[in-house]
Amino acid sequence: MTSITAPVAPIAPPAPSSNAWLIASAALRVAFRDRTVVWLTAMFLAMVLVSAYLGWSATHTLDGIFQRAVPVLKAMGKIIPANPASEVSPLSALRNMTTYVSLLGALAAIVLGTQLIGADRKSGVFPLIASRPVSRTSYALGKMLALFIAVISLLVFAAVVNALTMVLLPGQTLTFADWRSLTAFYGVSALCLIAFGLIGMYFATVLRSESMALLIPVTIWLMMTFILPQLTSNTNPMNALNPIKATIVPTAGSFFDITSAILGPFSLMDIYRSLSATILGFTPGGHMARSMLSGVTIYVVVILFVALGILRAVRNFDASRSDYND
Amino acid sequence: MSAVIAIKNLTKRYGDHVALDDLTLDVSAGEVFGFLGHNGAGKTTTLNILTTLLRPTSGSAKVCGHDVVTDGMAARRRLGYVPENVRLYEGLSATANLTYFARLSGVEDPAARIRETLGFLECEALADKRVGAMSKGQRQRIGLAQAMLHRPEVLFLDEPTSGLDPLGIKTLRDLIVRLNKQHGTTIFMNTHLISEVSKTCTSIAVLNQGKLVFHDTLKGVLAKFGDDTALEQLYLSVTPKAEAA
Repeated sequence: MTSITAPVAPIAPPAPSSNAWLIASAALRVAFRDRTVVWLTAMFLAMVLVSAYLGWSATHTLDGIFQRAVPVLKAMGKIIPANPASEVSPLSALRNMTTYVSLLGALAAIVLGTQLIGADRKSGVFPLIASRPVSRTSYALGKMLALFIAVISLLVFAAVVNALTMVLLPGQTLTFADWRSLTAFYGVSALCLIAFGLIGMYFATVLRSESMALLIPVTIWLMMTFILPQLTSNTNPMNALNPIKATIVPTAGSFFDITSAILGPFSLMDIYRSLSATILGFTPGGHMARSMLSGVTIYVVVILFVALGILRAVRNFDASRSDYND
Repeated sequence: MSAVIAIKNLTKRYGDHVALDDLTLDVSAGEVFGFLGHNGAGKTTTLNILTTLLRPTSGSAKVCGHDVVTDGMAARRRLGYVPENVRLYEGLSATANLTYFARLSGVEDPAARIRETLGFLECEALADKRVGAMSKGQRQRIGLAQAMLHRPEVLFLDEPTSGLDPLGIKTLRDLIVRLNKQHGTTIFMNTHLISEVSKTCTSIAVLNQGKLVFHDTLKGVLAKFGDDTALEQLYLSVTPKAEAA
């Protein structure tokens, strides 16, 4: 039997910032033991690799055809046109990523956001955490920090894979502006995923049913992906799934002018796709792309609003009744 | 002896239901306090308020001189809490769970403290075991370890022997007594088992429908009523709703 020291003067609790880090690291450790989170994350990462391959393959094929055509054209004495592979922005090869981020990425972020708080409620560990010298604010900030870390890590992986693909693309040279655009695209993607992850986290905090905590944010995501774009710009749901959707000019009309003005700021996925199309250089002529500033501002406002909602919900949380009831 | 737990006119309502009705109670330092009552008497509500998990509707409560509502952080630094059903991260080992709680409590060298605490609880063999694979008794011990890591002055236990087999009950009872005697930790224990009270507690109180109906030292009770059987008679006489509960 080991001896144990008698009770001593209370230990000073860690500073709130180190508590937030501690909670974030534990939350990530627990969340990534959840199979749904792992599968969705793995699928997203797999899609990143697929997108990189598709982008590289399409450009490589186009360049290959051109290279084979050049000697034939020369033999025929015809003028050699410019290489079509270098005519388009190399970044447009990333257009598939827009779809993967808005579909799989957002879904993974919702499930992760839900799990980060839901795991504590499901396991029943929240009352023990609440009985430790940790402020509710540190707890909520720690969970949000965990979400940021996970989203940024996923997107850094995607960015590195995409950057390597860009470098390997035949007949393409990336300029400084292209690198800046690539960074901007992943910045906007991070805003999108963090917004949806926080929405998931909010409902995992305020609801007493685990299934509803997942169902409601997924329904919101479905509405923002398929229904709001249809209401605001008559975008066919299938087009909403398609990365070349931005090449289809939405129907004009007074009805859509009104709905776009009213519902547009809530149509987060449409905003994301519009910003991505602008950044990656595949916005068609005649399409009124949303300005970067207004789009980013909407996302920042949504993120701050939901984050404040989470802070408030966690502060008012009844720790003695924290378990889900289903 | 000074009161380490001071409860004054504490009331908790859930809508029209009064879970705790004007409770006033002091628990002195170094005591093993047994809080008796039927299911739904308000014991867990009291414990939840004292551990800062729940806000009272009115009244006040202090743990080690710190108000649990206005100075909850300071109170939490001085208390440890073991719920009725110890729930930890099932996928993580005992050590991983304990490291997390040690760090949350500000323990500087979690590994050494965990070794020391598991040694005291005689459960070093559980260190690397996944919590999800543990028996109820093993979880209770790890739960107790979690509550002891930061060397609290007061330990709150909610029905600590609930669901344990006789050997588990005896082991846990011995640990509680040893912790109190060797280190002077004040123990506040919710229970509805009179046999537990007579074997571990130094003072008892009985709660019935949210109201305090009895409070005395165990010595005083035994002097007045004689033995364990009399203690049972006393309990039944002050809780007239026993059969209905």
